[in-house]
Amino acid sequence: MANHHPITWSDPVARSPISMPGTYVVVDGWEQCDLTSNAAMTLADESHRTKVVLRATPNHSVREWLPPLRSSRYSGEILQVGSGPAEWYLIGAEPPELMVEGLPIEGGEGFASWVDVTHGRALMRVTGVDTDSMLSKLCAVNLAEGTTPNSAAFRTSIAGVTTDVIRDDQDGLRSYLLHCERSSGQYLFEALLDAGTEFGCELGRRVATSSPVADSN
Amino acid sequence: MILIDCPYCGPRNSTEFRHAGEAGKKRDVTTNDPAVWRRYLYQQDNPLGWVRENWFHTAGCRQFLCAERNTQTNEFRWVAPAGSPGPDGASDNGSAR
Amino acid sequence: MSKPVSSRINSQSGEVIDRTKPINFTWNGQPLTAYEGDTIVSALMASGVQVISRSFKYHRPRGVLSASYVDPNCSVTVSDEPNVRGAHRRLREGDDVRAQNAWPSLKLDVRAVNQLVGRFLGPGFYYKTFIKPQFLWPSYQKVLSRFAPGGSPPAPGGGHGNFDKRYTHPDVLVAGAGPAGIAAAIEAARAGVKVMLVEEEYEIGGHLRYGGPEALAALAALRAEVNSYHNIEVLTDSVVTGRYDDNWVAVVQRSGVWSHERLIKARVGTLVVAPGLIERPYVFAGNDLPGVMLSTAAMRLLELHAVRPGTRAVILTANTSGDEAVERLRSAGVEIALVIDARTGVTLRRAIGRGRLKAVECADGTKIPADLLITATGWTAPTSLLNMAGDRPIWDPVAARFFPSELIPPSVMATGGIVGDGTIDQLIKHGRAVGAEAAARATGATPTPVPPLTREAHPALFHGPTTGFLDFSEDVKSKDIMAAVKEGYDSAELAKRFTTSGMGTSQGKLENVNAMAILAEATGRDLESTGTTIWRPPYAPISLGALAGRAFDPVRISPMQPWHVEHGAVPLIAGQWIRPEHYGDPSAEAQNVRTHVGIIDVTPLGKIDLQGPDVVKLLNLVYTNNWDNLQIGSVRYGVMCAEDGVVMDDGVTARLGTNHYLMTTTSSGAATVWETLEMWLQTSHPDWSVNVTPVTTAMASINIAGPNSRELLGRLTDIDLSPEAFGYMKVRTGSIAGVPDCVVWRIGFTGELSYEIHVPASFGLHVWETLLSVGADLGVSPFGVEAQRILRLEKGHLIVGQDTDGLTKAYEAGLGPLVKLGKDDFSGLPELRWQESLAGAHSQLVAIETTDPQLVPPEASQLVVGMAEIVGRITSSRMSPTLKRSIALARVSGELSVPGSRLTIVLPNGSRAEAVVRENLSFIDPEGVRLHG
Repeated sequence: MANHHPITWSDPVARSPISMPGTYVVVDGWEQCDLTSNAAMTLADESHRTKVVLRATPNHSVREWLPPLRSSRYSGEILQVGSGPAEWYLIGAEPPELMVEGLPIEGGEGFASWVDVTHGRALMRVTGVDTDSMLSKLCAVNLAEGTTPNSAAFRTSIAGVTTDVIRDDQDGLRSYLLHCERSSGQYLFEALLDAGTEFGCELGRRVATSSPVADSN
Repeated sequence: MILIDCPYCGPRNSTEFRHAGEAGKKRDVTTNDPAVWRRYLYQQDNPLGWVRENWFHTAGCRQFLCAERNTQTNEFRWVAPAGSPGPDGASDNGSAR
Repeated sequence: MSKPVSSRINSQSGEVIDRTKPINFTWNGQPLTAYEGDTIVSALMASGVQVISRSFKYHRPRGVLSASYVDPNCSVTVSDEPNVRGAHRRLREGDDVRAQNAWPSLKLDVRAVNQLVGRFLGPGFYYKTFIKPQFLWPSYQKVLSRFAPGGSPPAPGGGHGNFDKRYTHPDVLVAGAGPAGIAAAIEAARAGVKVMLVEEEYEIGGHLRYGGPEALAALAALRAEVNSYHNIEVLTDSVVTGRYDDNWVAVVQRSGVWSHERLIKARVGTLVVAPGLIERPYVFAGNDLPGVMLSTAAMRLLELHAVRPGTRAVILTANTSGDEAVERLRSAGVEIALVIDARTGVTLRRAIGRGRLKAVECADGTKIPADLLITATGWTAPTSLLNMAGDRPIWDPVAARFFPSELIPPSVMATGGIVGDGTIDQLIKHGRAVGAEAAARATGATPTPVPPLTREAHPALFHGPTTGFLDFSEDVKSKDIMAAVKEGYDSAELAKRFTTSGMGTSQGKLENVNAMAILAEATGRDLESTGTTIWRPPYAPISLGALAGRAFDPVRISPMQPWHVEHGAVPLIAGQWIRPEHYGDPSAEAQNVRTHVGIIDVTPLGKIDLQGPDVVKLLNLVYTNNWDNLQIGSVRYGVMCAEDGVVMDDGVTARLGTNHYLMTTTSSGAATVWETLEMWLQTSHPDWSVNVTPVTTAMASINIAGPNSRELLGRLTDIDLSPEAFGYMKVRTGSIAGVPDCVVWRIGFTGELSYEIHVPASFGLHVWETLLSVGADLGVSPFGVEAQRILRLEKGHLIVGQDTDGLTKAYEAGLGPLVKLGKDDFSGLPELRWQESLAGAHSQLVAIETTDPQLVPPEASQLVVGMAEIVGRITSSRMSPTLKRSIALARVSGELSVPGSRLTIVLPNGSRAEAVVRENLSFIDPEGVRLHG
């Protein structure tokens, strides 16, 4: 189509569903908040991470490559989560095609498929010793060590929003990843922050205070 | 609040679920008799005591479940994936409707 | 003024006041001082105040009765917080405390005139007087509300701090921290389980707190033991208000550090009920005079707050509590004028005084001057939580109180005074045994019975030879029960409702047993067969703040919503979604779409990704039309009906690949459709391979509509938009404004040439802003939901749920051509087959034009023929900016659906307007020239 005007536009910028006070910088095409905190409890937005949902029929061999229901594990840098009876979430940093690379999705018996839901899910992390008490203000599931130990995964209602919860402790400190569908992300984030006020919750990526060891990356 | 022991998620409050009607009703779209179809649509046995019924786990696994509940005490004695053979071994092929 | 009868005594062990910390407060504006640890009422008593409130109906002066939370006479207003339990709430510095039910003042209350006309205010007075005529109900309401009990609600915007919520899962929850409850908690904790110990008072200990040196020593030992267990969570000033299915237990935590009140929802393994006993008042004339109180009230005031409740006392005692009160009052310097031992069958006749107690008249007529009358005539077992667990308590005539029955489920146990009597050691021993058993049951052990406590004999005393107040909070007298029986209300539940006994602030905890005993006498039955009313939740009142606190009310927004807000969008609340209704002028927004190009944020549109070899089978099952031959790159409109044939949802579905489809639904129907798809797959066709993934908010959706839409989108995309390459009802994928993986389809809800674009949601704002910046010369501007409604109405496109309702089947919605009855199966098939056979003899959706083109009849206006026969209603109605006249859709009966039929619209003001049925649903471009351009 011939255009008489030079049509230009700025480079696409991906924006998180969650906004918070702080300075934003663009990293790998994503606008990210630069806030950090070493408070007793921290709440951070990780929505920029790649999220893939994978479904497979009961007879499909890809299941053997993935963790069982209600549990999670790391495969390299990718967190694999058994979120539902025939449903897995993969959370990581690479493009979605690379996240599922190596998994036997095509061929074999049964049917398996995946969908990139990076842009469709708000992902946040809350870290601190009291995070179970904080979540108990919003969630009726028993968060005791015996029922939801580290790496446990479950889906339930958090502050009225259906949310996937993954217990993913950081350096031995209690930590939860939570993701919900994107449009409720800001609401859930604010609900977590409000519930966390009692425990000194602050916004931002958690930075270790006492550890002198620099990040090896 | 009733506690339902979801076979996929574990024990959860009933507010996470939606009651999806009595189980075991037979759906016959070939019927020429409106009375038969409307009985399927609208009529519940609603017994006092044990009833087989479907629940949908809205805020959890999003699975349809089949359960046996006592309508007098709200006790659940059996909860399983939809279509599972009952505790008595009898299969339920009815739709969740 | 005479010298105050009550005053502070010397320092003593066990008192909870801190004499080094004075507190200033005001009582009805008058400055007073007290100590930290004082309740409002102990502070008032220490300052010589005896009249705390005026009663509910007769506005009689009232003073302390039980000096506990349930005290019916001690409700006060603190600042703007009404109905504060003054005998419980601890005083804080600067509290502005005021009396309730007193107008204009506590001393001179004009409504006390109710006392004089008391014979008109008998039981059932309100029911009988204010029933007819019905048209006066609003007036009655105004009169009654001025006389209603309780304080006034706070002004809007006021509030009493942070109300909160919390869930918890203790293995054992003990309700009540007296000796038995504390022991149960300790023993359960020893077994290693998670324990919650809940106490209504500010400190644990129950009656040990005011039971003298031996009790205090036992309490100190128990406290130390509790503190040694990290797995006991102790909640004081907290109360278990209800027990529901599967041991779902509600606890209100009143004075937490963090919140003013916190509602705790606990899922409990074993609930141990240990509330102790409540002392029962005695019914006689003058029993509500200030100065008449229970033995436990005197002990609390003396031992906890060092307040001497009077100077000269008469004591009516039938138990050790009364005997003990005699000794403690004496040692506190109170003159003991007379002790009446009720165990010998002696009683008193009446209390005498005006505004406060002056003398006690004995059975023989002797009048003993006194300013304090203590009664200790029996106990009431607060079986409320056990009732909620299914228990129906049984009256024990020997012990003269109710005891739990066998109907308690194994997940609920009881200990302490509610199940028997004993020394402190015996109560603790029983508590320990129950606690150990509770822990065992919580961890799955087979229930084993715990040996019971013994029961002590107690005389059954309810009333003296005169009649008096039965229910202090509702101003019900014993003779009112007699009157109720005479009127035929002779069962426990009926008498309660007729007299309102037990329906006031004490909720039967003080008065219920007396009411049942008097009812039993009046009906010639015994208490065993009369039974009692069933205590229902809540055990203690819950403030509305606690119920409402930390409300879960999710809000959903699109990635572009912050932009809409910045640009002046008026918000539209649609379910959980907040959307732009318009940006100031919806009519201009609609016109711009017809003349230039507009963009609308339609992100809430439901989107579902469908993958698998059996998707077509699923589509054929949920949609009424046929999906066998949809080509890759094409889009089709479909209608879904429920099994009753009623239109459930509609939308378009695109085929993106061999086994890959993208379905759209209405915004409000997205969740229902997703669930319906899962229902069919999981329950009827588990053999079908279809993976259903909701992607509603994974993609930001924007509709670009108007004659310039092709030019606008063409500037930003690598997709060939020429009509030959990309026709109506086709779908393409490509990049837009540099964003890859966008889905574009050509459809036209507005009736204009339009493209609906779905872009990865994180880039939604980028694409939206780019469309506006590169399209300025094309006249692009945003439009909101209202403009879209106008545009689609001009085109005659229906909205499911607006132009259809819960009874509208497909043929009635004009969707007949989309129903393929030849298919083997689809949702609603049999009903639609029968409806089709009616051949139009049902209501129809039609477009109508009012005779007056400027009249826009409100939606839901009735359509009639003749004077009154209703033949339909208007479903959508707007002023059309394109046609400059009013347009409407309506549902009308079959015979009136023919074009040219004349209808009468009934307007809200009662006037009528004429309208005519149009040929076609489309007001503009019925041929679709614009759409297909």
